[in-house]
Amino acid sequence: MLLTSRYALIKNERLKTYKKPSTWVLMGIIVLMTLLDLVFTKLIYSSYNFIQTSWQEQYGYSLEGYKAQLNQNPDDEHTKMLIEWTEYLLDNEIPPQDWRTDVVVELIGLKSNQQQTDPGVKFNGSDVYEYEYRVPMPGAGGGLNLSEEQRAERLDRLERILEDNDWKAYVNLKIEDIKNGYMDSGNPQEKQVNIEMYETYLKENIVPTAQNMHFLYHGDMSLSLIWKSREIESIKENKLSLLRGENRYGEMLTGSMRRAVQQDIDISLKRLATDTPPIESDSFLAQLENASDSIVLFSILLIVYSALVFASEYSGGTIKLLLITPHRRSKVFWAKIYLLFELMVIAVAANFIIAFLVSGLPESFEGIGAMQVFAMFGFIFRTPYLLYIAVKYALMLLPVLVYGALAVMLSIVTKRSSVAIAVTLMLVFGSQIIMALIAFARSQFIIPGIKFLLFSNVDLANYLTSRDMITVVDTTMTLEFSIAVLLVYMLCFMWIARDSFCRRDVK
Amino acid sequence: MADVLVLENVYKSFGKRMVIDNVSLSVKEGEVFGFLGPNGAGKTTTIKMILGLLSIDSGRITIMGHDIEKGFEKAMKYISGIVENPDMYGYLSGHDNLLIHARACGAPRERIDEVVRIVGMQKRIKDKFKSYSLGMKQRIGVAQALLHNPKIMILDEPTNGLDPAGIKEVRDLLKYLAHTEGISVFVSSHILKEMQEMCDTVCIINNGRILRTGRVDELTHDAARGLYRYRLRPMDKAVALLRENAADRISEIGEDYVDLHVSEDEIEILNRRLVENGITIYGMSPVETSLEQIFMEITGGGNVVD
Ligand SMILES: Nc1ncnc2c1ncn2[C@@H]1O[C@H](COP(=O)(O)OP(=O)(O)OP(=O)(O)O)[C@@H](O)[C@H]1O
Ligand SMILES: [Mg+2]
Repeated sequence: MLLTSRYALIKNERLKTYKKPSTWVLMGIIVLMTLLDLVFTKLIYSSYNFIQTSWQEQYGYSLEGYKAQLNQNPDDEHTKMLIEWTEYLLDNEIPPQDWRTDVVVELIGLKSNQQQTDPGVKFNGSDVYEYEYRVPMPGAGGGLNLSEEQRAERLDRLERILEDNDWKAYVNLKIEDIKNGYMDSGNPQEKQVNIEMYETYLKENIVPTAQNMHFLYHGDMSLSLIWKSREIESIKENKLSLLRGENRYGEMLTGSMRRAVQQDIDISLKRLATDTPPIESDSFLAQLENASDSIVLFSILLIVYSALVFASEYSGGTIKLLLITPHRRSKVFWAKIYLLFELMVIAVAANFIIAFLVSGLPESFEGIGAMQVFAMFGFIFRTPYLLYIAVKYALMLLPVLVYGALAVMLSIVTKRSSVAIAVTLMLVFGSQIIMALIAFARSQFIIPGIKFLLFSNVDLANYLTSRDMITVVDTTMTLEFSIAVLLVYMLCFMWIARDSFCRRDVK
Repeated sequence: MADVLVLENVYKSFGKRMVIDNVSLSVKEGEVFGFLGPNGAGKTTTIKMILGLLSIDSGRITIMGHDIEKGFEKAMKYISGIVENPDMYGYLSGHDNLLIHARACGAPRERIDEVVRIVGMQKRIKDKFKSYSLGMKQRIGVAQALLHNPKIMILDEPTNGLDPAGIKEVRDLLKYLAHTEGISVFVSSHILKEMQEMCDTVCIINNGRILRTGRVDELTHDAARGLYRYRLRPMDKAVALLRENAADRISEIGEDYVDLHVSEDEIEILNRRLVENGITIYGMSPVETSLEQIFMEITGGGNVVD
């Protein structure tokens, strides 16, 4: 009996809401916006892919550029060398990300024996444009201090390495560089970190990728080809951050920032250990993940719905009929809350399914089984990427629910949908401005208790993906903390809403 | 007959303003109970308290023996009502609106067709509620109130905005419900005439206080001492004479008329006296008895709404 009466109330709320045209109009608009956003990004990516060229073509364009330069300046040794070595890379089918590119770049540097920066020319499809491309030439000014003798010896050695195609020898050479002090790599501890990085390649038998490929190559590089070196490089950077006590932006590492850096190292290690590459930014899963950004739209949806579900009963006078039925008011209240929840589930599901199909179908769902490594609650998880996206959706939904609870509270307390909608929307979209003001104020003086503000805690996905914590207001904040703060806010809003719905006079 | 609804020493104030001041009353099974009072008397406020929409400051309200504060869910099983206007969801059909209420009250679906037939709305029941005329809305309101076979129906000015034919229909319907179906009907109004023809018992309230409660026949007996408008010549002499001899009967003195309270037996004597004193009666007509005038009598005049 209890259950059936509860169910009857829910069925009533469904009838009232689902037969209201505005319910569907609103949901349609939100879903359409998601759809447009997806299609738009899709188009951008595909046009981008369309103009992408192979590395051989890229080298071809570079050669044309060098040759044009040589025509103007026939004695330019450096340009001659660039032509020679680019042709060498093409002939030997050495792609840009190959470690041998580094050797080639170093050889060019050693032979020119001068600090070089390259006014690079980038060819992009039919459009030709120039930009300054400054890469210190490794081997020459790139941190190596060599005598004439040492230089000749090194030239020999590099050429041999290239001939033998022996990456281990090259890595060992690098380690020697550090040990001999050829390469400027900081204090002994920092040196150790650098050496450890190179030793990782040997230990894990990971072929390094080129660090200096952009000296010769001006195209884009697929992440999957170079990710391992990137991770190893990132581990080194993070370890150095921990040693120096500041991150790569020069910010002091305190509290949870330290923890985040450590976590970052753990993530990289886990990725390498389990051979889990990051996904490409234009892949199906990445698009699906980006679609979760539109969750903020759902706060609009929920805000308007809560105003409709509660405030309209007051303004329409139907609240009287609603409350003279033989049910405690709290039951009526929870039936409405349940319905809001149901609407939210429908909207999110619609959004997800559409995002899934639109981003997935054209790629025939390629890479759907990819894995992801991420940190949450101080643990490192390795899960299917889809599950990770679900977690992200859930985390982004939590603040939306808090705003929803706020809207419910305002709808009941003010009994005016316009007030509830206006105030909540202002908070949702004003939060960015408020946060900017807070950030400014924070740089001037310390604001105590700022981490307990609602706005300081709404960006939960930040904790999962951000590899540096510069967007966090207070470095003692963690994901657990933010979730707890949000839940407390939500409970407060709900409690006030329920209390005023159940106790206040219907005038 | 058992008491279906009992109010005992009920008080309610909005802020500092005492709106309901020690109201006690009881409604018996199968009677039409009229709740009379001018605008702002506290009728709607009382009704909202009975239906649990407003909290009670002190006192007790019971429905079929169930205290509405302690046993709200039980009490509400026996009561239904329309407060102020029959507000429902305009974008839903009359049927859907009734369905919603039926579900909430646990009434079976078949009951919807029954109540629709009782109020005679079969033809338009599939139309949207917002497309109904006020009279149709009132009828749907009554249908809604009948859904779960209540013991008592509370109707706040159900004839509000209805044309004379509509008023008569509602009146007949309520009488039928009370006397044939045995449902007590608690109906508020500020029109005495309307109440006279429909109610068994009336209760008169003003400024939140009950002034008089009684059977309609008793009350109308008092009211039978009618009010008549005399047009007399010469005016000043007539007024002086009346002031001297029948000051308590004067209700109002206008420029060319005097309103007097007189019973039928007294008319003959009064008229004879006037003529004997050389006063011409060139016009005489009964004045419609309105609730406000009864009030003046009961309260000894004064502003009704304050
Ligand atoms: N929400 C409220 N806040 C403050 N005072 C109120 C409120 N509702 C009613 N009142 C006051 O309570 C008194 C009784 O109002 P009520 O609505 O009960 O009168 P009523 O008898 O129904 O009058 P009417 O015939 O005009 O419907 C009035 O003086 C009114 O001003
Ligand atoms: Mg009223």
